[in-house]
Amino acid sequence: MSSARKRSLSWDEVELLFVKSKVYLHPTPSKRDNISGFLSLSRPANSSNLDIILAFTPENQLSSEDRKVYEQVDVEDIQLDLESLSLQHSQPSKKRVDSSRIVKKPSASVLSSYSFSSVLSYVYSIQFRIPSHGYWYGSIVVNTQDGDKLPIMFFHDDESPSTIKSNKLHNQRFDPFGNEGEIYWGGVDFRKALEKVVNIQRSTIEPSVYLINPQSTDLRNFAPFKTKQTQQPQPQQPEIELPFKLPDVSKFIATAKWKVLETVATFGAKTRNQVLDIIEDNAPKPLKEIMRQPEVQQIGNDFESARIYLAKWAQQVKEEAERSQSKYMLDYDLYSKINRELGSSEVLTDEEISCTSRRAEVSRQEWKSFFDFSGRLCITADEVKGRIFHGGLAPDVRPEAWLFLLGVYPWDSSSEEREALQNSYESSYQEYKLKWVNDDDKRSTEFWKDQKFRIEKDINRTDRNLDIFKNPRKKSRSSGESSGKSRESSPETPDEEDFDDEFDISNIRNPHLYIMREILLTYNEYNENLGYVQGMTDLLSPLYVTFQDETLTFWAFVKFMDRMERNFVRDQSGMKKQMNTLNKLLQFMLPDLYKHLELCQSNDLFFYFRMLLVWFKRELEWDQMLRLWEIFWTDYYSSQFHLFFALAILSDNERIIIAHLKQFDEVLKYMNDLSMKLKLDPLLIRSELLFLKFKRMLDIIDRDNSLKKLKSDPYAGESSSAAVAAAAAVNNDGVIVVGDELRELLKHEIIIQKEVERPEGVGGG
Amino acid sequence: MSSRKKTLLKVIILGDSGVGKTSLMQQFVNNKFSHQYKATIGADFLTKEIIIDNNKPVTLQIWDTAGQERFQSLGVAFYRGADCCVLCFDVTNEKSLNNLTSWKDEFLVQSNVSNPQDFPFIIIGNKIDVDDSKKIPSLQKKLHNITHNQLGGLNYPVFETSAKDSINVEAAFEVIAKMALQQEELNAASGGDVNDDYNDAINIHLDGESSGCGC
Repeated sequence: MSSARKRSLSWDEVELLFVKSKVYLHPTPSKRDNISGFLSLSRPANSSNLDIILAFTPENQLSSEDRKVYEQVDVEDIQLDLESLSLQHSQPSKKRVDSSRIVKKPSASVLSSYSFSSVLSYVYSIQFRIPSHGYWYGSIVVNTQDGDKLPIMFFHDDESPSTIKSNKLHNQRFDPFGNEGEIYWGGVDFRKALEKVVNIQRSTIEPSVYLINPQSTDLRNFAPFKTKQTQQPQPQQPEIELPFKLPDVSKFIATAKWKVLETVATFGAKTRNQVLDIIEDNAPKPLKEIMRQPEVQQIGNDFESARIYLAKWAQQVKEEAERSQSKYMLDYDLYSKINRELGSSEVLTDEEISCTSRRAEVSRQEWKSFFDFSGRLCITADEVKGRIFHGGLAPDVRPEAWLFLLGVYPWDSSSEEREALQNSYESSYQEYKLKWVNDDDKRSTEFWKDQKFRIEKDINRTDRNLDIFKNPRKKSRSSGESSGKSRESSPETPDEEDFDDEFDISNIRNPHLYIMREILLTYNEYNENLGYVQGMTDLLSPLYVTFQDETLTFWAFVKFMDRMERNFVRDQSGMKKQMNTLNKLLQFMLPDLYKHLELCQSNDLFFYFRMLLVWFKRELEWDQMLRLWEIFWTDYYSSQFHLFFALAILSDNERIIIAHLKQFDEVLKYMNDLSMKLKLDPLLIRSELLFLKFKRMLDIIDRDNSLKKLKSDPYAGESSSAAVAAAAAVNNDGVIVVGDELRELLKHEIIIQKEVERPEGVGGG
Repeated sequence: MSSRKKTLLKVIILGDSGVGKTSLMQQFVNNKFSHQYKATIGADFLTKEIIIDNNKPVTLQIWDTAGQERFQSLGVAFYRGADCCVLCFDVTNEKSLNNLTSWKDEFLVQSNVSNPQDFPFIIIGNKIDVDDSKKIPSLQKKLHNITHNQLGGLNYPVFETSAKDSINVEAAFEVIAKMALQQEELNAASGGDVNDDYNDAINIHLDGESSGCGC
């Protein structure tokens, strides 16, 4: 290109220094949604190397002229003027540039397009993930100085002309691994281009991560086996107090730290695994406490019950051990611990494992920052969901965020559109409500009266321990705020004079309970086939407490019920199907435990019924349950993530169950009594690891299968996957067939099963 | 291991939603009552040891169940091995009284007991503490009608209780225990050919063996 003409750049143009074509974003797991574009490094006018722009530009965002330039630069050898790119880079480049490399300046994040860019000075580190099984394409993860992560970019090496070309060259030279013995892929070209323009340092701790222009403090943090004690306080530079601001990078540090603290961690794992021995050796305090309880004294020598208590006692000791451990172990050691126990390090990379950390909840401020001035989301919904999945929401964000999570408001709506939507929701709700309010005939039918009776009965005993649902005191009734107004909003208003029994079901005096009744009666009009089923009040009450608005709660409930309806259908087929899937999943993931449950005649997993029906509402403290639900609603990994959470509960208790429980009733009692004792965060980490492990197992099986098919040798692979139980059968070709139930667990779309029409004369029970 | 063999009697409480099944069980086992018991989802049980016939110690395992009909299809999981079934209704709710027959039928279908003809059932009418004006009009007549005609003409014992005020609860469960013990002995005498899996499992473990549990 020496013959090319040169000219100066205008303010909105850049010189392309490097381009890699066929770099993709994978915003969803579906290939159809992949976004193909160019990864580029480009230099604006009069700028230093630190102003060089790293950008991703979707192909369809480019003018046809610019696109040609990108494609051209992609396949050209990069001929950077090394002189002007000296690493001192204090001299802004004033040179005229090759006009064949000039394009429009890459846009910063544009609403609802997928382009993004960042100047190199703002990039903190880049992780290069080489192609491997599981992730067929190599990818890079860019971490910014603010601790944000840009969307992961995947290098589709098989489509990119420059990569294909380089690969050919490598092969001609019989040098598939390049100079440093590393595998060649598209990311290597990018890294080499970066090396020419900025100082990049490979992390000594996580070799796949490169720091961009690292400061000395960053380097120190990346020094191996550096512990906090050896860090010198540096009062002049308070900002270095935040060396762990990058969640991902800090996890790599965590990994290293874990290596240092291996003794501690080992001790932790040991404690847990030998918990039963500890009981016998030390006769710890919890035992004595339990033995003082009257139920235990009552047992006498009743053998079966004693076993349940023994198991519970083991569980308490386990908790005790974990509590005392947590004083010495930092948060991330917990991951290592859970991870070791699950054996997931055999199939998962450190990076994947480190991603499963729990993060801080999304604050009001952070939530607001997701939206632009028009109230439209300025990052992708998937990013928001990923964030919520790993951190949950602050309580004051919930009333707004839940409406998005549940689908009451579309993620891509503006504030104006939402306002309009809310108005139509309002009138539409009133229409449904009037269907029963205005219909005296309907309200006098047996079916309707029975429905109302059931609803009232259950509303009256749902979450009455919460302040909001306590009955107003008789004497302070005059000060009751809105109760008078709402109570007169519809017929069937209970008689207020009767104070005989504050829990009399015909006498709902708490205005909030009253509104919940209205909502459920109206839902019956909305979903005529289903009718009221027990458990629905449990699903409604958290929504009501969060929104405290009749219309919004109704529509949020409608959306929630879309996915929950299958739990309540008359023939119970939806519940049975989930139990069946869970059964298969258990066989696949925890075969030893499954075999034991089979011996206990508990492999019907009946003890999961309550957990699944109302999504662990009865198993968790209120706040934790809210957190869990919003995490489930993200459908981040799977619309059926609740099954992995259920699996995590069993997995967490696997050893105790196998050691102590022998019968159906013992297992049921033990599992029922875990209620209100579950610890959410460790279980969430465990669920996520189980999911990732599950997904990886499927990947490996699929890869093995395709290899086997290639070889078409039926005896080739009695390999690692032999342990996989009945959930996945091995056919004659040695190909492992994984059932549809399990494959369905990878889907994000919610599963909707509607109730069929109610046959004539059938009640609502 | 244990020198004295203890008898475990399994009792199932059935009846419409809200008749007070959980309250009855809690009152009997823990001597307490609360307005705040939530609607039961799935099933759970409590155990209590009592002495019947002056010197016979037995352990009652009392199963509390969900009252909504559609959830009964899962009952098969915990009905097996039952020794007595308690059919509950609410003396202020006529429908719950009329449903006793279907609860009984459902139980017999699901539990697959060996002697459906003379399997021990007992009827409990709960909430007698409530004001008379709210009770089912001419309850005795209707009750008599149901026990003598619809329920196969069998004369099941009837108790009217108040789980709230602890009236008649103890007495009812004493009778339940006796009936359950008879049934248990009957099953034992007939060689345990019914529900044999379940009973074998119990016996094995009562002998302190842990055979077959790869642990």
